[in-house]
Amino acid sequence: MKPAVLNIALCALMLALFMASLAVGPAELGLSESVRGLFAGGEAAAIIMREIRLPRAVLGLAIGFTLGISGAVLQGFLRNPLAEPGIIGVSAMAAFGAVAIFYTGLAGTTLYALPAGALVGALAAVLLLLALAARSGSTLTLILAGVALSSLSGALTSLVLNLSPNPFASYEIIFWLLGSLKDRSIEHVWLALPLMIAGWLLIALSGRALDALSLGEEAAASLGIHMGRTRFVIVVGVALCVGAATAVAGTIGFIGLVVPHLIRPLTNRLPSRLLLPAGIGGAALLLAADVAVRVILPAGELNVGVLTALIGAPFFLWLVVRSRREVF
Amino acid sequence: MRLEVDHLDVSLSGRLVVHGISLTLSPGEVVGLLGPNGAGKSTLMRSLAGHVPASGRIRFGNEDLASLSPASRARILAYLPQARVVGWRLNVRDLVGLGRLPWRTFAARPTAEDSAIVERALALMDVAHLADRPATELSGGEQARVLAARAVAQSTPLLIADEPASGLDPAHQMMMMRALRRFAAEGRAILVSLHDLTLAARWCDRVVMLKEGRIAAEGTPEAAMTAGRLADVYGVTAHFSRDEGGLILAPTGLTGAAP
Amino acid sequence: MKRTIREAIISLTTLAISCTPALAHPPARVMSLNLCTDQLAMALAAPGQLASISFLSRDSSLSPRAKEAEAYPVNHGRAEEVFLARPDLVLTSTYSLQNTTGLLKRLGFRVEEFSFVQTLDTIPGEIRRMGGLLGREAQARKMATEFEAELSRIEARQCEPRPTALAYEQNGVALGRGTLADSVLAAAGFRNLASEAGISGMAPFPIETIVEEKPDVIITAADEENAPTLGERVPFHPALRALEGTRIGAFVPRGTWSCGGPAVIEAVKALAALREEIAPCGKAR
Repeated sequence: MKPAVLNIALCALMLALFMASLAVGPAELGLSESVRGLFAGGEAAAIIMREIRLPRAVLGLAIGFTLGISGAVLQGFLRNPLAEPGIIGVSAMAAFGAVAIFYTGLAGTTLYALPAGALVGALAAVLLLLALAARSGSTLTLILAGVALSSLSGALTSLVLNLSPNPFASYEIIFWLLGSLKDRSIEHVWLALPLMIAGWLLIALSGRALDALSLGEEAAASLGIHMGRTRFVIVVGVALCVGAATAVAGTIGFIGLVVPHLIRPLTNRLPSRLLLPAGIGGAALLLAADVAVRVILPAGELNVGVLTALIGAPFFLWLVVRSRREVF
Repeated sequence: MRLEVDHLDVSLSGRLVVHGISLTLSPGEVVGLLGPNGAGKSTLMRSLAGHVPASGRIRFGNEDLASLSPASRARILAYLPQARVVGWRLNVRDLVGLGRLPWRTFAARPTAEDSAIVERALALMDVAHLADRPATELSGGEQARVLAARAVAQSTPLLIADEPASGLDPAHQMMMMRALRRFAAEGRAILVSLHDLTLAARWCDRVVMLKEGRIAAEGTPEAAMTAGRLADVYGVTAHFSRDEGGLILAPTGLTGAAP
Repeated sequence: MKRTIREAIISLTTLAISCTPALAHPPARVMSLNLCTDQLAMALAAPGQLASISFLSRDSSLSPRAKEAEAYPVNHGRAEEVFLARPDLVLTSTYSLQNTTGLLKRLGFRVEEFSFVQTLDTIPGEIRRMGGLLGREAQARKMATEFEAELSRIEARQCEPRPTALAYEQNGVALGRGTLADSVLAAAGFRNLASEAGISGMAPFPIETIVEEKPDVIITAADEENAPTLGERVPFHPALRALEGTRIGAFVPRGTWSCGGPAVIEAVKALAALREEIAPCGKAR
C-alpha cells in the first residue's frame, strides 16, 4: 500500500474515533449541543465539552500516538518485533519515577513533579535496556530484562504508595499500574503535550538510521549512520514522550506492540515507513479503547489499561509462539 | 585515487591483534586478503571501515579516513560484513536501495538516478530476477549476492568485503567473484577476504597473506602463493596445477607445524 | 444446714453479680480499635479507663479529637496488641478487620461491635450504648439529650425551597442516601444531589453530571499537607471551578462527619450557617 494512502486512511479512522470520544459521556448531549458546546458558549454543554471531553480526547490521541510510535522505533532499533515501552518496562519505570517524586513530596505538591519524575524513570529504563539487550539482539534477553524491570518498578511503586502518610495513596496503585484517562483536564494536556511532541520529533529524526540498522550495526555505521547520535536521539525521544504520557495517564501497555505489528504488513517493512502510521494507528486504538471503557460499564468506568492488556497480552503470547517459527 | 595504509596497529581488549600493516589498493584491482582463522583479517577490515580504532594512517587520496565523519566515509568506502543480517522481511529492491542512503539527505525521496543505480547493482550481482521477492525467502547464495548488491549500490570507490563467498556452493562462489571483478572494472578498488585458495588465485589481481596479525606475503597469486608460503602461513601442504584460467591449488595435508 | 444455706446464698449472689458485669463494675481497661469508637470512647470514658485507641485518631484530617488523642497509647488494630494489653473490653466496628474480630472472640476477649453505617438518628442510641458499656450512663444520657435538642433546634429553622449540595470526596466519590453526610445535609436544610440522583452509600459521581446539575454547594475534604495524592485533586477539576454560582470548599470542620458521634453536631451547625448565607429562611438564630 502506498504510504500516503495508508496514512490518510488511518487519519480518517483516528478522526472518526476522536469524534466518538467527544460524543461519549455520562451527560446526554445531542449532536448539535455538543458542537455548539465546543465552539460557542452554551453553559453546561460548553464546560463539559471543553473542560472534560476535549482534554480527554486530545490526551487519548496524543498518548496513543506516543505509544504507537515509540513501539515502532524501539522495534526498529532493537531489531526485535516484540519490543514496546510497556513490555520492556519503560512505562513501569516512568510510573515509578512519577510516584517516587510526587507522593514523597520531594518536589513539593506541584503537578509538575509528575512528568519530571516520569522522565527520569523512563530515561533510566531505556538506558538500562540498551546496556542489557541491544548488543545481543536475543529476544529472550530483552523480554527477561523487561519482565525484571516491570516487576521491580511495580513493587517499588506499590511500596512508595503504601508508605505515604496519606491513607488514600495506596488505592492509587490501580491508576498507576493500569492507566486511566478519566477526568483529565486541560492542565494535564499542557503538562504532557509539549514533551510528547518534542519526543515525537526526536524519534522522527532516527528514521534513516532505523532503515540502515536492518542490515546490522556495522553495516549501518558503514552506511554513514552515527550510532551514538542515533542512540541518543532514540533514548531521549522515547523517554520524553513515554515519560510524559505515563505521568498523566499511568501505565498503558501493549499498544506499541499490537499496532506496529498490524500495520507493518501494509508497508514495505522499512522501519522508517512504519513510524508515522504506527503513531496514527496507536492514537486510533487508544481512542477506541477509551470509548469502550466508558460504554461497557456506563455506571462506572474500567481502567483503559485493563482493556489494552486484555487485547494485548493474548496477542503478545501469539506473537511469541509465532516468532519461534517465522521471520517478521 | 588509491587507498594507502601505513603502519596500522589494531588492539582489541588490550591485545595487539594487527601489527604494522602497510598496503595499498589501486582502482580497478581486486585484492584478496588471506590467512588462517584468527590471523586478523576481519579485524583489519573492520578497522579500515572505521568500526575499530587503529593507530597508523589510512588515507584515500589526500583524505585521512579516520578523521572523516561516518557520513563522509560512507561515500568513499562500502563495507560488506561477514555476518549476514536482514532484520525485516524487506523485498530485495528495497534492501539494495539501502545502499543509496549515504547519498540521500535526511528526508529526501529516492531519485531516478538512485533507482537506476539500484537496477544496475541488481544486474551486476545477477539478482535482478529476484527484485520483488522478500530477501528473507531466498537461498543462502542468493541472499549473499543481494547483500553484496547493496554494497555495490553504494557506488563507492572502495569496497571492503569480509568473506562474501563463504558458505556458498561452487557456482555461486564464482558468480560472486565474477560480479566483484565487473564492479572493479569500473575503476573501483576492492579488498575481499577469502578462505578458498583456488578462488583467490584465479580471481584476484593481488593477494595479501596475513599470519598472526602481520603481512607474511604480498603480490600476485603466482608470486605469493608458493608451497613454502602456504606451509608457513596455513600449515598445509598443497597440490599445485594450472589450466587456461589460472592456478589451481588443492590443500592435501597438514605439515608438522600445524596444531 | 445453716452452713449449706450460707454457702448457697454466697454462690447465688456471686452468680447474680457475675451475670451483670456492667452493674457490678465497669470495665477497668478498655481498648478501642476503630477511629469512630475512639471518638465516642474518648468523649465518655472515665479517667484511666481507656487504655488504647487506634492510630488514626491522631490524624487531624480524620479525627476531631486529634489533640486529645496524643495522650493515649495507640494501636494498629492487631490481635497481638490486644492480647498483650489484656483489656476487659474491646471496641471495634462491624466493618473493619473482620478476621481480627473473629480471632479476638475465639481468644476469649469481650468484643463490642458498633455499626459502621450511621445516620443522625442512630447517634443518640450509640452514645447511650457506649455509656452503658463503659459504666458512664449519666454522662452518656446528658450528651445524647444535648445532641438531640440542638439537632431539633436546627431542623426546626429550615424551610423550603432548599438549596442543593454535593458531598464530594477523593477520586470523585459522592456520599449518597443512607450515609452520615446525607442525614447531616438534610438536617442542615440542603437537598443531597447524590441521593436525588439515586446514589446509595458511597459511589463515583461523574463530573459531567455535576456540571449539568449545577449544585449550589460542593463540599470537599480538607487538603492534606505534605501527603499529596492524585485523587484529592479531582474535586478541583477546572470544569467544576468554571461553574458560576457554585460554592466549592471544605465547609465542614475537619473530621466532624467521618464518624457518628457527638462531634457531628458541629458539621450540622456549620452547614446550617452556610445554608443561612446562601438561601436564608427569614429570622434565624
